[in-house]
Amino acid sequence: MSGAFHEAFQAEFPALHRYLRRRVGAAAADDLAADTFATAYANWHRFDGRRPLRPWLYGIAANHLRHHWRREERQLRAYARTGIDPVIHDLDASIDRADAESQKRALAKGLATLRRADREILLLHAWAGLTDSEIAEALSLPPGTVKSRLHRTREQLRNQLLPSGQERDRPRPLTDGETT
Amino acid sequence: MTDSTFHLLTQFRDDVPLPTDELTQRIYERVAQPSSTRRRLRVTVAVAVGALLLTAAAIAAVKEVPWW
Repeated sequence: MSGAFHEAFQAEFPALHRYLRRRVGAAAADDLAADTFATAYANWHRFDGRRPLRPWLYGIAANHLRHHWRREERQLRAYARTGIDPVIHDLDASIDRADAESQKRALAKGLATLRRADREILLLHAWAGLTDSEIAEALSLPPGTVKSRLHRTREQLRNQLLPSGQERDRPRPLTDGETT
Repeated sequence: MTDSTFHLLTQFRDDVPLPTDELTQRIYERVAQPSSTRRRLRVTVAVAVGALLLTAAAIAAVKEVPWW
């Protein structure tokens, strides 16, 4: 077991850690990545080796991320408001943080206003590179639901990035308790 | 979503680096070692409980035996 787990860790940890760091920043990402792999280690005997590993791992990470949704939204709103991204605040000082592009600030604002579950799906797709079916497996959702939510969320974000007055086909926002 | 919007999204925080080898190793040790730590803790607790039971049994036995 430990050999297979070691291989899985070496293969998947860097990308998973970077994904989590993009979501919630470096300090939280260290703990989240460790918690994700600790959960995977404890449940390794339950993992079906014939199935792909990444959806399983990112599903565990999504469960741990649930405790950080408020932090993520706070950081996105702060970036949208100030142009200084708290997530990359500790990176190279040569980055001109105060001069963030207005589109990125609008994107941060758009991401912050998405439903949590929709943001999860969108970022698993855009940042972790998971396919629709892999996201469905990670989040235990029907593939059709993932596909429709992804489409709706992308449209919603696109409309939010359009200059005011140019919105079209704006999807009706759902409440957190509502499903497709 | 247009290609440019999706491109903007994929580029968002794209300068976040991969973890260093040192961090990867440190977290691997943190993840993989707790089981041995927990095993040691379980053994310690079991030994302590066993010692406590033996002590209690010994005291009870001494009290049962007539002092003469």
